[in-house]
Amino acid sequence: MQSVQKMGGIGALIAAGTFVVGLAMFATLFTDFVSAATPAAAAEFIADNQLALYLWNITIMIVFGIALVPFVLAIADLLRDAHSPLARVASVFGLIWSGVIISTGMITNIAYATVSDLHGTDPEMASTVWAGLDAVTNGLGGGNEVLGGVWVLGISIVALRERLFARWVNYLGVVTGVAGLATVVPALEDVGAVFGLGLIVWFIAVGIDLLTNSDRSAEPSSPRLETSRTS
Amino acid sequence: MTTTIQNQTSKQLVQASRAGAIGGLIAAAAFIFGIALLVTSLSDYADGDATPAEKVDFLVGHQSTLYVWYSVIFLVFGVAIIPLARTLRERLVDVSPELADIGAVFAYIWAGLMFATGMTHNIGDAAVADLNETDPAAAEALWSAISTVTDGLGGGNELVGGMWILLVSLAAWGTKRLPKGLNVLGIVSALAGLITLVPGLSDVGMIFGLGSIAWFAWTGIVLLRNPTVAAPVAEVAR
Repeated sequence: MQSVQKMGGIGALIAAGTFVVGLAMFATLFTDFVSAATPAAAAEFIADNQLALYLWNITIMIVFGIALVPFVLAIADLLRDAHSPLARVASVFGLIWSGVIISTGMITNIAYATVSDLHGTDPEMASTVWAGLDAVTNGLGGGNEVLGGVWVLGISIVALRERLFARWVNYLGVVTGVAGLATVVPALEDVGAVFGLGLIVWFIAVGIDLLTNSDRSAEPSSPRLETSRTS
Repeated sequence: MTTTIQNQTSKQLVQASRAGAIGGLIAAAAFIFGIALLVTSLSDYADGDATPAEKVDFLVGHQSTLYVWYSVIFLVFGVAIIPLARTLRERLVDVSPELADIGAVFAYIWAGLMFATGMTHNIGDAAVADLNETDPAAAEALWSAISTVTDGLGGGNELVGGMWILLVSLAAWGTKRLPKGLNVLGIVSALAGLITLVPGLSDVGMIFGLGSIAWFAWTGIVLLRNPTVAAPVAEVAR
C-alpha cells in the first residue's frame, strides 16, 4: 500500500516536470512552430528541427503518459475504501487518458519522420500529410482534454467528500477538470491553457501529499480520515 | 469444508491460467503468422524504400490479403493478450502488487492500441483504394498519413507492449512464479521494444518481435503446465 502511494507520488511529480519542461520549450524553441500559419511552414520547421521536436514530444507525451499510470492507480487505491462508483469511473478515464497520450506521442514520433522525409522529395505532399496528422494528434492529445478533465474532476469531487487532500487542492481540481471538459466546445479550445496550468499545480500538490503521507493506510479507520471527518 | 473451498479456488485458478495460456499461445501464433506473411507475399509492401505510389499500387492489388493480415496481427492478437494479462496479474499480484497492477494497465492499453491500429488499417486501406480510382496523387498523400498513424500506434514504437513485458518480468524476478530464463528473455525483448522509441532505431523492433514470440509461447506453456503458483516452477523451466 505504501509503495503504491510512493510510486504514485513520484509519477505525479515526473508528470508535472514534463509539463513544465514542455511549456518552457514551447515558449522558447518552438514559437515559430506554434505560430506557423500554414501546414507548409510547419512541415519546413519539422524538417529543420527534428531532434528538438522528438525530445519535446517524448517528454510531454510518452514520459507523461507512462508516469500517469502509477499516479492514477495510487489515487484509485486511496479512494478504494470510499466505495465511490464515481472514483472508480474517474480512474478508468485516467487510465484511458494515459493510453491516448502515449498513442499521440507514438504517432507524432513517426509523423515527424514521415513529414521530414516527404519534405525532401515532395514538399506539397508533406504539408497535406502534416495537416492530416496534425488533426489526428491534436484530436487525441491536446485539442480536447475530455479524458483528463473527467478524471481530475471526478477524483476531486470524491476527495472533497472524503476530505482526502487539502481543500484548496480539491477545489483547484474541480476548476481544472471543468476547464478540461470545456475544451469540447470548439470555441473554448483555449480554455485548455487553464487546464494545463491548473493541472501542473494539482499534480505537484497531490504528488507531495502522496509522498509525505505515504504511510497512511487506505483503511477507513485511518486516523487522518477519522479526525478530518469529525472536525 | 475447507478442502472443498480450496479445491474450488484451485480449480478456478487452473481455469483462469488455462485461458491465459491459450491467449499466450494464440498471441505467439498471430505473431508468427504475421512475420511469415510479411517475408513472403507481403515482402514488397514491407520494403522501406518503396515510394508511396508503389505502396498504394500494392495495396490496391492485395487488399484482401492485407485485410486478413491486419485482422490476425492486430485484432486476434489484441483479443488474445487480454486473458494473458489477467492471468499474469493474478499470478504476480501477491508478490509484487505495484508492478503487477501497473503492468496489467499497460497490457490493456496495448490491447486497445492493437484494436485501434487494426480498425484504422481496415478502414484506411479501403479509403486509399477508393480514392486511388479518382485521384491517385491524393491517395498517396492519404496513404502516407494513415500509415504514419497506424505505424505510430502499432508497430513503429513498441513502447507499451515493452512496458508490460518488462514489468511482468521484473515483478516475477527473484520469485518462483515464472522461470528465470523466461524473465531474462522478457527483459531483453522489452528493452528492445523500448529502444524503438529512439528515432532511427525502429529496426530493433524485429528483436522485440522475435523475442516476444518466444516469450508469449514460453509463458503460454508455463501457464498450461503449471497453472497453480503454489507448485514449484523449477521443473517447468527446463
